[in-house]
Amino acid sequence: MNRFKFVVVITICVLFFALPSYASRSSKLYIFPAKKVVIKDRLDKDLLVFGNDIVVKSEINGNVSVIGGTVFVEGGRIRGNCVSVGGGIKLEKGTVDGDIVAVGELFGKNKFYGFLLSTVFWLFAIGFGYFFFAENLKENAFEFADDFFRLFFFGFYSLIVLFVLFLISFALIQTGLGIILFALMLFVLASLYVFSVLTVFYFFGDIVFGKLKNSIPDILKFVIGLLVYQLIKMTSIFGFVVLFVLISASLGATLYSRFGTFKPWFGFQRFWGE
Amino acid sequence: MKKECRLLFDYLQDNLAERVKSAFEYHLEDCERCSSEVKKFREIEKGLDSIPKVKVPETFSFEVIEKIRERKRKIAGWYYYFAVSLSALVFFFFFVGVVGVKRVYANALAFARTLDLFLSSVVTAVATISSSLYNTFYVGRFTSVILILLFGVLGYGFFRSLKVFSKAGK
Repeated sequence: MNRFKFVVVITICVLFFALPSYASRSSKLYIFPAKKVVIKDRLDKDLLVFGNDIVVKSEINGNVSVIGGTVFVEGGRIRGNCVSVGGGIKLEKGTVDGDIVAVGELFGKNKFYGFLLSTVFWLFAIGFGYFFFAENLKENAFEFADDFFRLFFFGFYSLIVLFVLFLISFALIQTGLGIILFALMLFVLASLYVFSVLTVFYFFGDIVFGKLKNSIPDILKFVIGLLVYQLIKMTSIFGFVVLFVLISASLGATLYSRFGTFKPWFGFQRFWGE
Repeated sequence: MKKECRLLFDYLQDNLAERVKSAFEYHLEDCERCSSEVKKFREIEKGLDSIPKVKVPETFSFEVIEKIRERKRKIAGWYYYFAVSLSALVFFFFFVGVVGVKRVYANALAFARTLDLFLSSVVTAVATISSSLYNTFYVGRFTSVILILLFGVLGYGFFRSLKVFSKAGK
């Protein structure tokens, strides 16, 4: 079977599965609004807010979802679901007809739990990376330090494309087929992110221990890197920018070095007829 | 075995003086054993020559050592995770022994209920947010088809750009 037939068959299957269309309401999106979103008039729309709070003072015929903020229902009424991720839901004389769901409220309120959780997670990841992918990580860290600026621009571009792909797959969950795409994107993004951040840890550890002549065990370098990472993360906006730049460049390095292996992607060449 | 037969090894290595060599060649015609030995040796030599010569990179031994070390580390990793899970298991049984099966069961049930609640709320959150997101992209009846095609085209373009970037030198 050659490549063209393969693509055609896959496309037809995908379109066939996607056809059962979904009845839609209109929807309104707020991305990082400068101040709290306040709803005073009656709306027949879904509301989706990223990165700030929302105050509902009237009746809304739809769902209200907030990511990284709190929902205040002050004398209003929400006929659909009310969802908050990383924030809380406050009902003051208001009612919600559908489900009320607040996920990760604790992490939004108290930074310490987030710190604890991320430290434990990264310690596990360091163990895994050290035992099974140490050489790849070293190779990647070398590549990362070698060609920083070019890799940063490439990583930034990749980040944007991957984010758009992730959003599309997330929206496509409604059609059923999107669940597979979403799981795929989640897997790709998670593996890229973990590998890139571990590379940054090794890079930090190398900077700290670079001047010592005695060789330091790699695992110690990773742990010191984690410490530096958490310290930088604590400084609010500066830390965010620094880590964003570093992780973008590291992502570029990961994609360039193909997870530090320098082997072709998937090794499918023969199958693809190249 | 004649006296000359002792010279066989030196003859094969080409260590004999010209005169002795010609004398030995004369001896070869008589001695069946020596001549068959020489024939065998020449064949082996020919076979060895026909094997292609491989040039080993200078870092070869270093790389081999690194590979061995890596392999050892991987095995150590498996042992480490095995030890951690085993000690967790032992600790769990110890915990059950101290606290009592009934209480552990009740706690596990409560934990499972909480987990179920948490998972169902996560599912609700994902469904709600994704439906809102889908609605923001909504353009008509064929939105899902358009989105899937967009996903495919974007993904393929990204993959191609990855390949181009990887091939371009510094």
